[in-house]
Amino acid sequence: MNRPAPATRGRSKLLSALVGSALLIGVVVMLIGFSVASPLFLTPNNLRQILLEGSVLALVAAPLTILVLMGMIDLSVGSMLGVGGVVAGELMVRFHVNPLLAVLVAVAVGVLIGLANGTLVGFLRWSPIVVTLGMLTALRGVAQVIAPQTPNGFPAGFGSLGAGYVLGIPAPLFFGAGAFVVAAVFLYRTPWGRHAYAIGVNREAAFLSGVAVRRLPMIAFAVTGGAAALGGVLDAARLDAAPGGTLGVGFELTVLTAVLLGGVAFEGGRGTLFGAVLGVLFLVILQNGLTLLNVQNYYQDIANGLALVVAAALNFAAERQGTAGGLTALLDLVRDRQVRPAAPQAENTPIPAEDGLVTK
Amino acid sequence: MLQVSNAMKRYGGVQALGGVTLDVAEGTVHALLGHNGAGKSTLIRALSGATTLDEGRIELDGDVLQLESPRSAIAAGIATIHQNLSLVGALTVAENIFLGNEKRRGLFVRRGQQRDQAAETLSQLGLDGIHNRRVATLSMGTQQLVEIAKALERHSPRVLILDEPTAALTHGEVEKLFEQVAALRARGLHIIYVTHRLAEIEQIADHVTVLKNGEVVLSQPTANLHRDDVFRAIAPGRSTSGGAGVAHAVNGPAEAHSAAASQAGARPSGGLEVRRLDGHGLRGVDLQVKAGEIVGLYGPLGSGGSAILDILAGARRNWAGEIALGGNVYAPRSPSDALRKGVALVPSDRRSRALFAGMTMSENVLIAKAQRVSRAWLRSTRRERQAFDRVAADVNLIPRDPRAVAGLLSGGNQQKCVLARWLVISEELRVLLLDEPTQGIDVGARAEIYSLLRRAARDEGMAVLVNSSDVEEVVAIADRAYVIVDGAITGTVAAADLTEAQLLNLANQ
Repeated sequence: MNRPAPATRGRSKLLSALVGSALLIGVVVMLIGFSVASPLFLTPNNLRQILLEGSVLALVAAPLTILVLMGMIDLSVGSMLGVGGVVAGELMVRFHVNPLLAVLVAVAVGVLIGLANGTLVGFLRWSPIVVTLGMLTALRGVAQVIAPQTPNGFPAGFGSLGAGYVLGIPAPLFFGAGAFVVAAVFLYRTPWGRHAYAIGVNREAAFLSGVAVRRLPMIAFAVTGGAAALGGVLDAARLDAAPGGTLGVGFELTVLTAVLLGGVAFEGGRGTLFGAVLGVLFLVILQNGLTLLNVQNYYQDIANGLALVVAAALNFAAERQGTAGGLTALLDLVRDRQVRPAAPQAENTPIPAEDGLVTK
Repeated sequence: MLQVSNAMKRYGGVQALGGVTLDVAEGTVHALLGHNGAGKSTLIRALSGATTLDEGRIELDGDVLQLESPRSAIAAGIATIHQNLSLVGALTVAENIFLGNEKRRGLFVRRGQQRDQAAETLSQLGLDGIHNRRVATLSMGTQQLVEIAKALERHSPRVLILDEPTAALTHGEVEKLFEQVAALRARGLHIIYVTHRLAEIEQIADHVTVLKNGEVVLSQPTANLHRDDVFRAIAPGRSTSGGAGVAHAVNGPAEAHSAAASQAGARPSGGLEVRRLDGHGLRGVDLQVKAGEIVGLYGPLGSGGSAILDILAGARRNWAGEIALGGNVYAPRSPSDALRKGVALVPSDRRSRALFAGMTMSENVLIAKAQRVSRAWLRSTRRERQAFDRVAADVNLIPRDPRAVAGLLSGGNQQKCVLARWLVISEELRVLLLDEPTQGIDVGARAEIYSLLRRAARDEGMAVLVNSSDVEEVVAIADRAYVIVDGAITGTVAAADLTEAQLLNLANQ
């Protein structure tokens, strides 16, 4: 593990701050660029549309970020989204269940599926990738078994959950933003947030320190399941239909892209929730802007994918310098103007090789 | 003759090497000592081509060496055996020796030739019949020798650098390693031997150099050197408890014993009692640690001491026997269960089992405490800061910066962080277990850790159990000691007879 000497060189600090906040800069550049390129971009309607499109993504990205920080992963969110939408839809259309109750049942189903994931992965310690990949496939089948025909024509009140506005703000945004607020409070304001990081940094040490290394991931899986199901409900409400075969297909990759784009390390232990928010915004704005410019879908995919690859390069560079990604780097730059005692050079941690990217 | 002259190296504002001169004669073992951060690692990195010097010269028999990369160092005849071995466990010894340097015919490996050649090199090192074994099945000591064989086979080096080679070895393995080092010395190699263990120097080194703050503070032949001089050179006049502690570590804790004896008598109830403990290689272990007492558990690595500590800390299950804590039956289900009952472990192998390298000092120290100072489930920054400041001053963390990244600290500071993790909740603890508490830690920090343990036992009445494969350590810290070999207790040593000779004697019966 290469850890650099405490750098005191101003230029490389600035550079590392820039590298660290490349995503933020990217978002700002896109906002400006698309505003110039398309008169439709910077309009209240379109901005609302962007927030709407990002809402479900954010809702699931928040708990997923916590899972990834713990060194876990949930690939089954796309299918859980489908199951959630289908369960709510079927209950309302076929069984005429009260919409509120239908939503609660759908979310509960998501939580239960998440608990199953959490038991297998968190408790029995089976491989998260393998288990949730299996669940992804299996649950897609389950969604179609539950609703062979797409339920549609939901009660009027239900539709406003996905397409309605409260105080001019799209209703789903409350869920997306709410999820991030709750996740942020959990991660940064409660002791268990630190425990989540600790599990990702060194699970064995966390275990020996008395951290709940099984229960915490299990709970995070359950919450992720519930959030995904709720996301499915919101999508179904917006579409006024819950197609079991397509609702949420590919969603797991989009949301994972957003989280990783935000600088959360795939192996856990590093990254911030703020980065994940930026990752979501980046993806949604890129998608929206390119659509407005009439760029074909294929090119949008190319842009999304390349963004992730570039993010990998930037994260690597940031890590090389030992700086945190995201805004943290910028904050550090400001903070370092105050006097901070320099950390002593650790004898048994190697100093980075002189071929470091920006270390000179 | 290997000559390093006026080596200088700066990292940012830190002067790692401030003009170091070092002469290593052909066919000698040259021991290199110093604190963590004294410049040893930097010097070795320069010699092994991992870093370049800002100024200075490295010559071998008068030829100036250009060591720009590890590859060029190897080509120049300098082989470095790092503390973390570079062997692949799943491959055989022969495959490891030729890894990346395979004997080939076209695209294909000539296994037969590799095996024969490996067998020959290995037998020169006294290792016969292991070339087909998988490395993972070998003991650490043998792996260390395999690593040396790999270096010999590959480069026919003139200079051999050994970086704390005995850190993970058992007593018998150390002896074996020393035999081979002596043989290599006789073959005319220049051997640089980095260590923290003074006893080893007297045994193997011809010359000793001590670095401090990037400068040479002592360089003498071993023949006319006293151990106290080396101690003084490494840590002269430290301002903290280090000074007294160092003397303590050398002279033995004579007066501490009597204090413990009187205290332990006053507190009969709080301790730990283990009877007929079986499982994980243990065979009917009986032992007892009273409140206010520091008990040593001495045994070569892999003897079972770590297993006992892990069981007591709830980290391993499936054992048989009886354990009592303060008179009550104690059977921890997990480390968190053990903690609830007041038993905490400082594990060996800090980096993989204790430290959160990427997290801050404060987060490392308060991993268990944060929950206890939180308000209505929310963390209180102010209270966390207070708790950190208090314990940081107590254990003398340097720098006392809660935001310092733990992975960047020196080994001694990292270990203090891990210890502080429990000292900060000491009011809830009854038993403190420590596994190899000062492995890879310099003399000064070692003394500080010893004095912290004494305080935990004397002032807070904790029962302290220290497992160590280092005889010096057990003698320095323990009030009494058990000797464990192959999972069974082979003897106990009371305070009055606690000497290195006595422990070694019991271990080698």
